Amino acid sequence: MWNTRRFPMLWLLPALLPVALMTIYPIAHALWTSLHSVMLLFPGEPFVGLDNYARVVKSNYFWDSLSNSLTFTLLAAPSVVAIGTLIALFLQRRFVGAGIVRSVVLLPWVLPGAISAVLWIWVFHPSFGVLNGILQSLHLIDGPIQWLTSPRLALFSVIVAHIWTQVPFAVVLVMAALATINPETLEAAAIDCKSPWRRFRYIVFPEIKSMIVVLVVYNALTAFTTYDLVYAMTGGGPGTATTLLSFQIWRESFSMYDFGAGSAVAFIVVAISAVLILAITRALPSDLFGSE
Amino acid sequence: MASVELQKVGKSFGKVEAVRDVSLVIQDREFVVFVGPSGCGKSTLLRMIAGLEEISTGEVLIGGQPMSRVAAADRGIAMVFQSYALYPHMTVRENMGFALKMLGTPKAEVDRKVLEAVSILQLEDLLDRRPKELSGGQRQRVAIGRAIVRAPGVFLFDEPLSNLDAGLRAQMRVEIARLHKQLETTMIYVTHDQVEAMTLADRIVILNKGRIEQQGPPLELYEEPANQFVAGFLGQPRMNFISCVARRSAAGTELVLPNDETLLLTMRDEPALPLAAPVTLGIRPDSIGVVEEAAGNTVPARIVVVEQLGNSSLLYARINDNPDLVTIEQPGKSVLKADHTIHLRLDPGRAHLFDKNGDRIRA
Amino acid sequence: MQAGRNHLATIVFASLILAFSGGPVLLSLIGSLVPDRILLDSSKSLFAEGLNFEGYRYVFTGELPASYLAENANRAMISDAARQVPYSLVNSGIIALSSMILNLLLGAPAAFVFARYVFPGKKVSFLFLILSPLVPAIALITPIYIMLQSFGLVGTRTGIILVHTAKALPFTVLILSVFFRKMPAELFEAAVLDHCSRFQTFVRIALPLALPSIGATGLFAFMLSYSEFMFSMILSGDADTRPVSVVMAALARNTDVSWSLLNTAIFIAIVPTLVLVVLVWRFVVEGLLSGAVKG
Repeated sequence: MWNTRRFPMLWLLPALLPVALMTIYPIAHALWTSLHSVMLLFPGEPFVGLDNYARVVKSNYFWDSLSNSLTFTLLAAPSVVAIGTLIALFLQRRFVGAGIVRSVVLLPWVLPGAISAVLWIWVFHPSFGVLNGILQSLHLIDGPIQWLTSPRLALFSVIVAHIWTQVPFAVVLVMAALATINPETLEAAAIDCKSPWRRFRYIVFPEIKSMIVVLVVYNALTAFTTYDLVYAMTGGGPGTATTLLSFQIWRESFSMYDFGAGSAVAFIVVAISAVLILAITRALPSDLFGSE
Repeated sequence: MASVELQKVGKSFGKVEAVRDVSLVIQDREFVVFVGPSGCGKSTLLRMIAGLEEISTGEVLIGGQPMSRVAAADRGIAMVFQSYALYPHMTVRENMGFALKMLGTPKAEVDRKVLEAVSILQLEDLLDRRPKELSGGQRQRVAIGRAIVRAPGVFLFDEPLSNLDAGLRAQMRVEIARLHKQLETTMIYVTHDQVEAMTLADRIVILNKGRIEQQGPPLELYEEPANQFVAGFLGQPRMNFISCVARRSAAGTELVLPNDETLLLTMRDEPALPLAAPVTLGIRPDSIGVVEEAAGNTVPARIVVVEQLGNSSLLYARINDNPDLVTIEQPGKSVLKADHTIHLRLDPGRAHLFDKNGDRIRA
Repeated sequence: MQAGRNHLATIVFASLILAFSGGPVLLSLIGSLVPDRILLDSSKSLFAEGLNFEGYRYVFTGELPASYLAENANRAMISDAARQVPYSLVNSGIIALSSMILNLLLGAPAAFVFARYVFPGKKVSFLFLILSPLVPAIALITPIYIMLQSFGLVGTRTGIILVHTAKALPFTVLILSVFFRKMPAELFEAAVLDHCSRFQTFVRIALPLALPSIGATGLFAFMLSYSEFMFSMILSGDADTRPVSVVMAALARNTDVSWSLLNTAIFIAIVPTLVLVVLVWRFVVEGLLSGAVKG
């Protein structure tokens, strides 16, 4: 590690500038817009203070979508990490065909959200979807279940699809964390402790704990701001059953042309996310900055 | 060819002081070894001379010139790293010629110098191999060769043999000694291995906690350690240290041992000691004799373990309930067994006394 | 006995994972090869009429499947969007490749100084870089749209490339700096003693050594761009600039479109990602895992 007294501009600006351009300016712009009345139909952009926020917070749809987003986040994030950890642990085993399983696990990761959406519409289709097909042939249900069009089930169904798209990343990161464990520690554990669950609880888990924490928070953030998959699967319906907070930004701005209100929702999303980001930085391993 | 001078140099990493107030003059063509336990600052000191580590206080002079504003590459030094640090994507030839190439030296001259170094180290057959295709010993030689090509005024070695197995290490030790004779260059060598230090050095510098404990020719340090640390660090097996109380009597200085035996110490000169001072007796394992019967100036002890090394034997014995075992080295195969009670004859003429600060009590 | 039960558990668990992760994709492959009338008729077995490539023929040549030419056929079942899939793959390829190259050019030098140097402002700039992707993109979409509009980049591939590059750069820098940090420090010290400037050390030592990792990181940037949807949608214009994610979303929202045709489009769009999966696994994941063992 070398010390230099000056900030290495020429080396860093090419990377920092585009990122700053796509974050700092838009955040500032969104903040400004949220404090002004910016509507396509009414010219002039008068300062209105917190009016936009007040209007948003008073509306029913805001609380509906906030509750949808929170439900989505609270169910999806822990599930993704739990399933991902389970698969990562399983993939530590050596067996014939392990390479194929490892590749297939990664598959949902590289599919564009829109494609994943279509795949899952197909799975959940009431009359010829494979899920109802299996359930009916096992005689678990009498008639077809309206997975995506009944208000109670739609949110649950899109959460399943969302989990499917996010699990691979969790698998990869947990595997990376597992790979840093000294194999001799695991061998010692195998001798000392017969129960696989205890081995995980007392030996493996402490070693990958910080990664799990980071993953949970990261996934909470992803789930809280997801957009494309749900949009393509249900368009927010039926009714407002799957309308997430992220939709409201879109709806206010591009359907209602009320950019002030849209930015206010956006800023509320940013504020809630900032809390999550802060939690991430607390949980990050401190050697990430190479301060050795 | 250059001398190296350290003037009160210090280095701190944050609040940790790695090197404190070190002053040292290394003569041209001298072979100096920095030795000490891990974390004593020896590598940091070497890297400060190389310019790889900034100096917090003091000044380094090479060839009489202050180095504070001279970049590492321009100091006329070459360094051999512990991990060899060969460039994995270059052949042996490219590795060795890289520094000259970076300086813009004409290709023909680079080739000539590389071939010169190669013939010194007998690396002719390996010129077009990559580091991956070399054994550990060969990599080590290439790393030294890369240093030779640069024709430096000072060679710096940072624990160069620690990654080699024992047999190869002895062989490379001899080779480095030969190179020093042949190249007639200043060499500074860092190691934690006291055998390397004793065999290679013109002068050993013993470091501990960032300070110089003692410096001098190897045998001088071995015979006349300045303090308990140096006495314990040099010599294998390690010097025995026995806590006791010194008492002045008519016959001379007496030591009261842990078992309340008194031992009359006839030192070459009478040490100046306060009355009833707690001291540490230091005596090397080969300076302790074993007798069957108690006699004057002997101490009874019980053998705990006997180690047969073939050409010599090590006895570990306990005096009373003293937790520290005393090591005795005997030539040849010992007939003694564990649980035997023996009597130790300590040779006062070859013993050292250390005060409670660890400094040797001199006459 | 214990070993046998263990073996069975392995097989069961592996099959469950395969069904969960790969099942939906396999369904789409089957769906693309079976005409709707069989797909939607539970009394017929799936492959009663053998494999059917009409969907693929339509997507690539525009030749309508015979069944849709019948008088009572629902014309809405045929979507032009399906015909855009092959060209959208080309668009996605151009966009993702450009984003990947820009990422490596802009990101590698930054990753190198982050990995090997201490300088004032390091922690702040690094934190900014790795935390910026956590700001939800959906919240920033309007200002970014307005900004790119003022540059005249809305409706162009350049605009999408710019956004994708910026969105992937933090990951590129983070991953590459991990790789650069894993290289032994002594190698770089040797380079300094060998008269290398910072730039020469970077070009002659760091880059050649990091080549496999750079390839891996590039793939990662490619993948992020290939699967991005939201910015692609608002920034792309007509069919000439639309990447595959946008075309697929349009198809998915069309409830009338033939299932068989939809699945054909999906499977064509998936093929490049199948190749990506294998490459990403080989180079990115295994690289990260093996490096982690050593470190």
